[in-house]
Amino acid sequence: MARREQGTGAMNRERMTAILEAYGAAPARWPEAERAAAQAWAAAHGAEFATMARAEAALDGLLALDGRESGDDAALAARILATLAHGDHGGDHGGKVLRPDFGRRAAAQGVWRQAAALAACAALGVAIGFTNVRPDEDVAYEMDAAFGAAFQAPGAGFVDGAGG
Amino acid sequence: MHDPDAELVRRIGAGDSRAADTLVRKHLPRMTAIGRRMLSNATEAEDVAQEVFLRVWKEAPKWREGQAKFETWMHRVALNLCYDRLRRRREVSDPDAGVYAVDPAMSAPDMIQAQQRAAAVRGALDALPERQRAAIVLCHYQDMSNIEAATALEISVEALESLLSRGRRAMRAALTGAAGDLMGGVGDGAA
Repeated sequence: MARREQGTGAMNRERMTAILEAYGAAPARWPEAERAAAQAWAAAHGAEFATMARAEAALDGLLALDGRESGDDAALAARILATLAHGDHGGDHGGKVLRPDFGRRAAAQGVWRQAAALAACAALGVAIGFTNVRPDEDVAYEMDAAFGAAFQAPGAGFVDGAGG
Repeated sequence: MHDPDAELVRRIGAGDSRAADTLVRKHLPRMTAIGRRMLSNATEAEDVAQEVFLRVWKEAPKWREGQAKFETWMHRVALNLCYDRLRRRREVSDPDAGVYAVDPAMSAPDMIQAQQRAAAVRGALDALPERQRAAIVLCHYQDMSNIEAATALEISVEALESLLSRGRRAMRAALTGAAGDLMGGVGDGAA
């Protein structure tokens, strides 16, 4: 994947326009490498910049109206952690499941005690209504070109959802 | 490259439930937010977020620090899961899409106006092609840098800027054409 390292050239009207059209009027969203130069250009061309930025500032304000962040994340977090504790979701942990006191518990622990803990986690998962803990069966898996190097690959390597 | 999640990921890879708890609570709001905006369905967004963390648990043991930020990879996984759901949705209509609650403390007239404006913005965003929408969601709502967003989308920065520009241009046009011209008369001949 080719990447352009921006910020090496001088700022001009053409580039300023491109930055506004792509990132909007808020300097915080401008490319970090070009932000200082763009802000300097804006300061030096006050009236011209104001005209250029007006429509993008208006769109930024409208985008802020889309408040879709809210949700009961605490309940969802509890459900996810219960699912992880359930331990039937695969993973390359050598068969281990998440344990609340990982790192402190002695390695040699009774099989029945572990089974009881697993059963309790399973009951919790059922009690809170979670039924579909398996990764999406319809999602095709493929090697991810950009992130493949970020995973050790003892065999299959990194996979993620395929995307459209 | 410093990855603020590197230690958490290492511990999760070793099976540490407290690290998993911390990572889930730290990133869950952003994972659900991207799903909500890409899918316009709160339930599906929660399913996507849950699936992301299952993938985190599965892949954490193999993660190597320094290649990419772990959160960027999480965004990539979330986007791919959203793309998959959108692809399947194209074959079946979704009556629940776009259903969100409004602030009950608002007065009725304000609520109606706010609902209309917010609905117009959501509609304009939802009408964008998936990759343009994803670019705007990552850069505007997820506050990712251009390099992080480009990495998550597996494209160049130039391609990201093209997606952003086209997406914002389409939104300006849609909102200029909306009842009352939500762009306030500045939508045409922008920047």
